[in-house]
Amino acid sequence: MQKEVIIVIGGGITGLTVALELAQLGKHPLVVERGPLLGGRSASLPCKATDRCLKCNNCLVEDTLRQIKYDSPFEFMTHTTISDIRREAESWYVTLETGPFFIDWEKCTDCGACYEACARLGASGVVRGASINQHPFFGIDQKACSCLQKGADPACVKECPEGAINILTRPQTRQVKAHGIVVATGYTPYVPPEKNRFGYGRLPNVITTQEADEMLRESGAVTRPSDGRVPQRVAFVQCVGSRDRRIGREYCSRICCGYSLRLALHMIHKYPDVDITIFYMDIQNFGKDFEKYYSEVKDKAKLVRGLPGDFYALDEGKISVSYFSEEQQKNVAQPFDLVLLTIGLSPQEENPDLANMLGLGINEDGFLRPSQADASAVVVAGTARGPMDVAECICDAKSAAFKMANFLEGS
Amino acid sequence: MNSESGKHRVRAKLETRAQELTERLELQSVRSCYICRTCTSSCPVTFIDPRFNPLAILRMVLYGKIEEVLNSDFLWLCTSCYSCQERCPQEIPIADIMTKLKNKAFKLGNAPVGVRAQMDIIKKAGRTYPLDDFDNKKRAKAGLPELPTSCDVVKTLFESETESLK
Amino acid sequence: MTDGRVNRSVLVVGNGPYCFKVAGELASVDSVSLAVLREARLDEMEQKPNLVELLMPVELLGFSGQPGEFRAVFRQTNGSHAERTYGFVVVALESEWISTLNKWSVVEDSRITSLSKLEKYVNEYLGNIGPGDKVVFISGFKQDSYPVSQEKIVNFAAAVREKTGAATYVLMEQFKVAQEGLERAFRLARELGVVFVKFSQTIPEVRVGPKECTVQYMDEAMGQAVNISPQLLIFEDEACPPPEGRYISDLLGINLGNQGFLQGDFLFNLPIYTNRTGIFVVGSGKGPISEREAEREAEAVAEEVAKLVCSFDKEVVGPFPTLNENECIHCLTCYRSCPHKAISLYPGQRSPQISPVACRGCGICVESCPRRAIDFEHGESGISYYDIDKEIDHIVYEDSRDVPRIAVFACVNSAYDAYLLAKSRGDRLQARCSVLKVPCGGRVEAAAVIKALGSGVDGVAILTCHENSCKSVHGASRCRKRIAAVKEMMTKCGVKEEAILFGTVAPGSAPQFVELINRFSLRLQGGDGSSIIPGNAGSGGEAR
Ligand SMILES: Cc1cc2nc3c(=O)[nH]c(=O)nc-3n(C[C@H](O)[C@H](O)[C@H](O)COP(=O)(O)OP(=O)(O)OC[C@H]3O[C@@H](n4cnc5c(N)ncnc54)[C@H](O)[C@@H]3O)c2cc1C
Ligand code: SF4
Ligand code: SF4
Ligand code: SF4
Ligand code: SF4
Repeated sequence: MQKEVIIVIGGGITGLTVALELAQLGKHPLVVERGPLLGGRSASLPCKATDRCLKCNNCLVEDTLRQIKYDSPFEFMTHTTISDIRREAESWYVTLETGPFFIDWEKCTDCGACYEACARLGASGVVRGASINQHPFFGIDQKACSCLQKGADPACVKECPEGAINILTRPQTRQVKAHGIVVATGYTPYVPPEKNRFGYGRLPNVITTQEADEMLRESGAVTRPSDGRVPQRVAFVQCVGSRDRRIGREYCSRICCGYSLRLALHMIHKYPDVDITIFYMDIQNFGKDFEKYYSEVKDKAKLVRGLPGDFYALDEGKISVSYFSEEQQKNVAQPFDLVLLTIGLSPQEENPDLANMLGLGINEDGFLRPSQADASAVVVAGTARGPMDVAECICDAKSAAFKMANFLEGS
Repeated sequence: MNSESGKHRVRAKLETRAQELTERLELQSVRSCYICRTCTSSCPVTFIDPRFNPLAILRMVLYGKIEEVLNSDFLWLCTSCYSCQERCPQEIPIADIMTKLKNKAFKLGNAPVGVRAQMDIIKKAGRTYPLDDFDNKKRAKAGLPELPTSCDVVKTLFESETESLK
Repeated sequence: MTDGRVNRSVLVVGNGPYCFKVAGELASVDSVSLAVLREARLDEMEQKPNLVELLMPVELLGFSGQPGEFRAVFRQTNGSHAERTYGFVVVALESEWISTLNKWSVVEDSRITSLSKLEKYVNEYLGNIGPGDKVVFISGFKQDSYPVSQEKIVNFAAAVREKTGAATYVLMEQFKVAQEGLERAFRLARELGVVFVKFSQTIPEVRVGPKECTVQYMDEAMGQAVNISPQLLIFEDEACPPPEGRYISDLLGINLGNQGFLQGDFLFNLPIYTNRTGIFVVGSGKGPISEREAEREAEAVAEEVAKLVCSFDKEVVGPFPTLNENECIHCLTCYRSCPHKAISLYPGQRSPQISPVACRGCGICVESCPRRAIDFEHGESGISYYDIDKEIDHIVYEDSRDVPRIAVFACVNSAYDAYLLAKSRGDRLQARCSVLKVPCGGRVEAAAVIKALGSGVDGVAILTCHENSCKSVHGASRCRKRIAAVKEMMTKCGVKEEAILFGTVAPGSAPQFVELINRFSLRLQGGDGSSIIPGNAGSGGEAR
């Protein structure tokens, strides 16, 4: 009998879990990841533990990645997108495009020669995994390649002792006949628009939580971008890019309240003197430990109900934040060393196209929804369906794998 | 029992009146508010005068306390800067609501003396700061062209407008 | 396995309609038995061919065994006992919503009720409500509220407002909108004219008189006091753990979590696992969840079981401890210390048996056995790191005078990854480290630490996962306590305990790993002025 291939679009924690589970059920998933690495956004979540784990869930991701790295239970393709899908009889005919500039992970030994070559040029065309359990550990971000931009031959290609780096004139294509499709294309972190009242993009010490995450993972601390110093006074602004009809996002991103409370506790643990203020509308429950973390934060940080108004630059990179003070019953402006905008999860821009291609629906918030007809041949899982955290993504992935396996058994 | 239902009727009536006013002034959008406080924290007046708080005014309208708002003096502290309105995540036209409330208050004769005086000056001079020959002399010294000291167009405009406000 | 036969059937334990749903999903995997601990509505149950038995109501009396051969003893209503064998167990107990009226010191009557009562008797309660009346909902203040219960409130409030025309108020601590569509539902209710009031500084006061009840509060956003005399006053319920949760978890040997909700407080239990292989928990018994989420968990657990069924056909891979029966003195230390309850006692068997399916290879039993009767078999991969003793004998250091030499016991689930990551990033350690991969901090025995110290290093670091993200549940905390004991012992012997470090670090935290080691290194070099390395006082120079 021919192998029944299932295409899993997206190699984030959701897609990887779906594939891992399907493989363990004896099926044949093929993960298609457009980026250079596997793991998606969750592979770089930084640990926010204090003297105990605060359940940011990154360890769950590491565990999954570790299993995949050592057992290689399924096939995957990075640097790859789907250029065409046709439905014929009971099968999908999927055209995959890889590259044109990419690392062949089957040859790559994770030695890092390419990365060093690229770094020597001061460029970031070669990207490195955030987790040691990511394999491949290196990949190409074509857009960031400075050699290509200068019209030069990429320096990394000849540095690779394995000859694993390909630069082709056009993408390499492959056609696959698939019996089912799992959509796990994830989300996009919200980025405030160019003109915004928070001063984001204008004031160096106003950053998003996404940027704080990257910093924490990379260097072990959240510091001020302007001078690299540990901030004394930090403001968190909740619901940036969520719960806002003005920008067409009338939903709660669900993960960001928990995110901020964890990060606040982490920072306080590391720097007991840090003075943290969290501006919020409502605090959402997030898992079983919600009440514990919430009351701890109430003790150790200042929670201000209400979103702040104006953000102005002060001396020494400080930011003046104005808000309504409940005690004084009037507006006050307070200086902060660092402002963290707690951004939300946005639907992927390509969702309408994907929906079109696969006969899926789109919900009112712009996330994907399984269609009524032909539901089981295409399954949607993870944050492609709506905001959720990693633990929920894993659960969703397992349920998706179950549905897909049932479908294959039934057909 | 009778007095109970009598009370009901009175209460219902009071509510209907506030409701009617809300509808007539088209203020129903205040209901969308989810108390994020962006309006208040963006308001330059709330920095200076704790009596003025745009959210509090919207809440009063929501509770049917429109009369109280119309009779207040703080309503007139709104500078119509639109900071609140441009930022409200529920897209409530807060500054427009303030204007509507001010207009209604004016009609009821509740405008503060200062506002009335200002109105008279504009009516007379077309400006809040009336110009006279002295100003034009100063302008001439600075090499600036002469400006008209009265503005009849504004006057006629004003008359029809105040008519409609009454 | 005692008799070599593997049972693949599933026992679902429940207390309400949800367990029927779970059983329905599982029925597509293998045969399912349902034990419902009290009488419940059956109407949600489709007749599935794989549903072999329904025991309702039934009491679970005893439980033993391992995946593939769990044994359960039941008592039925007629007093008769039944014994069955199962491959897996899924606990699908539901949490309860309990009225909070007593917390507000009010008594239920025709004007005052709880959300669940309102749900049951909507028509009775709303029958007399009309325009000009007032209805007040109260959410939170005395208990946590959740999107699931607030969804009910928002829908009721909208319906009351729309159908009766009554002025409707919802007093709440927070809008719990973290659920699909809920933010929108809240707005629609507001647009219908429901007044939502948020509190952060004050709480509403409720007074009940014979004729009138009043709710007095401060509308914090308005800055004014409000006084309402509602004709109907509804309190949100409190989510409480399933009443059967404690006895079931005791019987099954699974850990309980926060406030008695099911599932122990460990990261790796997420989303549906317990400390025991082959036993799962799904649904609201772990804490309130939406219907959609509960459904998702039912599907996920069906997948988990299907996967385990597949795994029975495969050979056991990975490290697996074996017990040397000749050394075993039946002290049962291993039986008690295995965090996954993978070790069982069977009548007629000389020694405890380790289940290859349930064992997760942490090595805690190896460490705990006073007779050293348990050891890891070297798997095909030939990994020898489980043989800590041998490994230590082989520590070879490059000779270096200017930085301390440190032996690091690094947990394979966390610190070891962090170390590898640091290495691949080219991070500089200010120490010469010999890093030993261990399956769990819990595997590291005191003797190994002392032996490592004796092998000529300047310091020994034992780095594990954080205590509540340890994959072997209590591995990290056992390790911490053991290291503390070793330190105490050393101090008593006059040896400086500073030469030993216990630390926790996550697998992705390369910078934290570096920081831990470098600080330790500084301490060893006498960063505090008191060097414990002979001849190295004050030389705090950085290594190149
Ligand atoms: C600032 C921030 C902090 C967070 N912190 C936490 C936290 O502490 N704990 C937690 O549990 N969660 C956290 N989250 C949420 C977490 O990131 C997500 O739950 C998780 O990453 C979602 O995984 P996913 O696989 O569904 O999506 P993604 O991680 O987005 O993965 C999707 C993958 O699909 C690929 N892809 C997309 N489209 C295509 C296509 N057309 N073809 C091929 N490939 C495609 C993408 O390249 C990507 O690799 C946080 C989120 C943010 C924004
Ligand atoms: S906080 Fe996150 S990374 Fe840290 S131990 Fe917990 S799950 Fe792991
Ligand atoms: S989780 Fe919190 S911060 Fe995020 S959108 Fe929801 S309410 Fe706002
Ligand atoms: S900004 Fe809009 S939603 Fe926020 S408090 Fe003001 S009126 Fe309400
Ligand atoms: S290795 Fe760990 S899981 Fe396995 S039997 Fe021993 S203590 Fe239990």
